Amino acid sequence: MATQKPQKKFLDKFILTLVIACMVLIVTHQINNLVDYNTPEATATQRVTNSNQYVVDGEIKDEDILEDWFTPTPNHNNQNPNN
Amino acid sequence: MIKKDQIKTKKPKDYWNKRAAIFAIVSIIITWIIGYAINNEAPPDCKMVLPSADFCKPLDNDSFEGVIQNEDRTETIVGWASLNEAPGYAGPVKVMVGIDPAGTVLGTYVTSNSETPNYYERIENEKFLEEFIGLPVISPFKIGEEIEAVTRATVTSNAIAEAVRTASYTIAETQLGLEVETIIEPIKFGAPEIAILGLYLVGYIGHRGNFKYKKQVRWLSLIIGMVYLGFIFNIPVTVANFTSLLLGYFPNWRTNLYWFFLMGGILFVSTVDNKNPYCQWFCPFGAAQECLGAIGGARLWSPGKSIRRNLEWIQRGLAFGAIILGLLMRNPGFSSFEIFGNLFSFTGSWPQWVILVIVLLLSLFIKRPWCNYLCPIDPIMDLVLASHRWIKQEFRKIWQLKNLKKNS
Repeated sequence: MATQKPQKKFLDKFILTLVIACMVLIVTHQINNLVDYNTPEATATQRVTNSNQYVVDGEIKDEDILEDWFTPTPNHNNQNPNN
Repeated sequence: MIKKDQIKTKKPKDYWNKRAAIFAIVSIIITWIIGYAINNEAPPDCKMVLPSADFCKPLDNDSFEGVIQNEDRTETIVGWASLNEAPGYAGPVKVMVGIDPAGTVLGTYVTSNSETPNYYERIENEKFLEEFIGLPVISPFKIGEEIEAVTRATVTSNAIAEAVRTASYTIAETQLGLEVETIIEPIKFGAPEIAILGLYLVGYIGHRGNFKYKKQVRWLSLIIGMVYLGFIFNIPVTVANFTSLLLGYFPNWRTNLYWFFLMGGILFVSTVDNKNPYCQWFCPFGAAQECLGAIGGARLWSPGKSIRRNLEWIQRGLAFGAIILGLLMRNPGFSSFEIFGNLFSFTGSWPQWVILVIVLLLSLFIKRPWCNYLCPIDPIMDLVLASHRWIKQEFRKIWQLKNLKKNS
């Protein structure tokens, strides 16, 4: 009995520490969520009209990632350096 | 007759519970109003979907015309942008679509969403929005045809497709003079709906007073819940579902009937029968913990009355904080901190992964550590059940007083 009591006390403290650690981690997760929450701008991906450029995450890029998908459209683009 | 003062002195625990419940309900109402007042969105910049436009002219509240100014000061239309929304899993998903004069989708842009961030990340990582680019304006934009849904984010994928379709059709009709066919989603009644109704039926049979095989039926219900609601359909109840209800965000009933069965069933049984039909009977994560507990011979952990009480209040505080955050941001996705997604769809943040490992290890030795000390659903259900009980008690008192007055 005498050896069981300190053992139980230790186990109780150990479990309690883990439970409290989880609670702290939950708060950390919530704070991270708030800080890292993606702004809508980060999700935007567009093609620049009639060019091989795309606006990805708000920046114009030259990647030809979607070239085959498009049918030619009238050229209104004055941003394309190839024009 | 029992006087009010006597009740207070007899039940000090209930005394604080009542006050905390009133405080929680009042705070929720106030936060709802504050959230509504501070989250008035400014209209998004239509150049996000019409990047070649010099500027955009608003046609109405949700439609814009993108133009470039020529050297001779004349204007050329480069396209139109339209804004529309569709119900996602946790709330509306608002999408802006850009269409060029030839009737091709130029760009799509999610201006706001209420989905759980970890799930919405899948949409971004899979570059789902790019799938719409280049499609004709009158495409059906149907998942499974021109568009591939993102695995484990199908409700959000459907919502985006629906919003893109409505916005594109608006431009097709109003600006391009095209005729479009209205697409009505067929009512989906399939395996998830049958599984949920089956679980309620099993729970109803198992709850009956002297049912002989209660233990066995409960295990069956738990395992079906874990396999179907957890691993196969990944639709466990989360705090975000309750925040969605409070915000009045409902998913499309035609395609998400299971959501209405699940949430409606919980609220119906808890108000009519004053019992929690979910947590002990078919919560998938509860079942996973119980399975581990059965392997490890888990026992109920008793850390002492005062520690237990303090942990209970912290658990309530976490649930309360989560709901307040979701209401303040008007985004149920902010509420959710559960680790169900980590176990059932391998999605989650690093703190959630650490929590999952700790909880699963603890489950081997102590009974349902997540449910008893961390889960936000437990305090919410306690609040719902206790409020129901208190309201019933108050009505009974009023009734008794009326009867007394009549008799005297």
